[in-house]
Amino acid sequence: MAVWEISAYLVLPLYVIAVAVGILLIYKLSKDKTRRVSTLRLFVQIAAVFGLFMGLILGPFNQPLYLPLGVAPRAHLLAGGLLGNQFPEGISFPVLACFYPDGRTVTCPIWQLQAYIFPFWNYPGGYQVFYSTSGLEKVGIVIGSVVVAAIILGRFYCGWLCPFGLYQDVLTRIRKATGKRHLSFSKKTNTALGQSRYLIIAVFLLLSVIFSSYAISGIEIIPGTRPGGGQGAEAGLVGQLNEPFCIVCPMRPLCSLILSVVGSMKWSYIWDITQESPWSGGYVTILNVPILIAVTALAFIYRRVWCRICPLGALTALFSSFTPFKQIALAKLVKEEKKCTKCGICKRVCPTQADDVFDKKGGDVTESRCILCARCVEICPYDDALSIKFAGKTVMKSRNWLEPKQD
Amino acid sequence: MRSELRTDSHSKASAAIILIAIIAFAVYFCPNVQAETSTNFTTSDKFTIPATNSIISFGVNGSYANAALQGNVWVFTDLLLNGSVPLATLKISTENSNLTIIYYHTRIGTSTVIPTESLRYIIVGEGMVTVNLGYSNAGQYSGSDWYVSKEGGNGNTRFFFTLGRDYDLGNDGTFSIYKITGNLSVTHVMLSSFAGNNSNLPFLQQHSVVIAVAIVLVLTVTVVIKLKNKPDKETLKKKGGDA
Repeated sequence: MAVWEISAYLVLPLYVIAVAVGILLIYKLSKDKTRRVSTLRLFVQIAAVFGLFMGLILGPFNQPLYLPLGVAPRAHLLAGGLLGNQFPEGISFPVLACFYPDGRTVTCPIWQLQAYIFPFWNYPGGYQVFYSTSGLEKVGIVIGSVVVAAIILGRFYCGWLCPFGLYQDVLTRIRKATGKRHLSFSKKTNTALGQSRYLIIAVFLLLSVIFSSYAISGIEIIPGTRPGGGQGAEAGLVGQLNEPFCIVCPMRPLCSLILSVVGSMKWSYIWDITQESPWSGGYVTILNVPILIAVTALAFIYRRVWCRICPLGALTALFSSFTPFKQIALAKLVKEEKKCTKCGICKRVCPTQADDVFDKKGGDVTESRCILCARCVEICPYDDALSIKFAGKTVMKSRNWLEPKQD
Repeated sequence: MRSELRTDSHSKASAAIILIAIIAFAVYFCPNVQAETSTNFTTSDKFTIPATNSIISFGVNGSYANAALQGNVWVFTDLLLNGSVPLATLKISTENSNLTIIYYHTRIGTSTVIPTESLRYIIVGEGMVTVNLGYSNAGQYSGSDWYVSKEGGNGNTRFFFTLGRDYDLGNDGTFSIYKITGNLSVTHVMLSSFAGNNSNLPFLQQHSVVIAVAIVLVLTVTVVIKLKNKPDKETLKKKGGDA
């Protein structure tokens, strides 16, 4: 075994140790009790980006760090080694990290759902990926994986692990540093935005099916969309119709950037994929960048603006915040009505303006918009008024930080 | 004495390393030994098809073992264009046009490499091109494995053509491209044969991933329900206090 291979095997233990030490240090050294959890969350978010994009999560983690630079990470197909040609694209993990994470050990479920509904993927290959499973079976695997993830941690993934969530939080911190105040949506608008998520995911999944109508029924509903393309139709657009959401996803350009910083992608590879004609099958399309710019501008003003309409968040919420999943979801935000003074601070600090924590009377106040970031728990100045519970056990609870402890 | 021995063994080792390097170099860079009977051709050679008023030529030099006009089809056996690998048999025909082959490449697949074959040509005139790239066999292809495309004006855009409208596939892997001129590319990526056929495996192995996900899902729900039904310490304390 070569020396570099041994060193590579140390990457995961070193990563785990570094994360554990970091968490401990933040917990011990953080003096501001109203910021401790937020600092911890920021650290975990950054660690998650490294974990995801270096293929450390759920993968044969010895690969990415020492692979010769320049090979596109997607070419490694580490998940193929784990799951064979039944499901080489990687485990569905509910964060907006594209199918580019090194070796595709984890993959965005939205991309998978669109791709697998599109019958192109029932053909043996696409993007040089090979399956022996049927489309329906693949959709079943994605839904099953997301349901398991959502039951266990709900939208915790959005609050603590999603790289795009981190991006928005960083923008919020920059805004705060400039001394500017954030704006909030009206309750009506915020509710409408929250509901639109389900429509967005439905529309994009439907589009996947419409674009593949020729492959399904032999009827081309939209001209030029049959697999292989129509004469005159540019390849890239047709080639990417199986993933209509990804064409507009704001995370895509960031994924390639992150991979160049912490992953094994060479900068020149970004150059290659962005130099292609926007409609010619390039990874970053003509729509990704403007949408990223728009979301960036909005996220600077409104906190976690994308999370309010994120179809992936909707999918996770669907399997954790609605009956029957809500009854069995393990991670919950719980309110003790008797200890709440209705001061409203929880409502003000919530980055997604999830109002149930304030409006609802006691008990489980987790709602589909709540990303379990625990900012409300951290800031609530009343002992035990708010808590995060996992499987009924209290993981975190509000403390009276206004008065010093008398013990 | 010792130093002499050391020097001697050093020089032997050096010679061995150099020898290995030369062999490795030769093996690596000269994998294809051309048949002795091959005929070289140049870009100025023309292969005419009088019956269809057409000329086929090559944009690069190369060689073939045999070239014969069979009916209206030129059959190039063991065709090797400079810079392409390996040898294969190309059958090509065209009507009322001048066709220049600029690239021909076939790659035999392994367990990790997808078998591919590809041809690029420039065609002037509006005739139908019939071509068999040599590696295809009947039943070994699916329509989705073929890509017929044309380079656009600015080099970045590539137009893909549609099976059944712009080109058709025969049962033996021969295909016909209808009246498309310009710089065309025909690629056959044999995903169907490469995708891995595990249909002969036992059911559990064929569907192990979906079965594993289903088991994990059932286990998660079961464990969660168990945990939910388990009274927590606070409730127990309260009950104890009430009693």
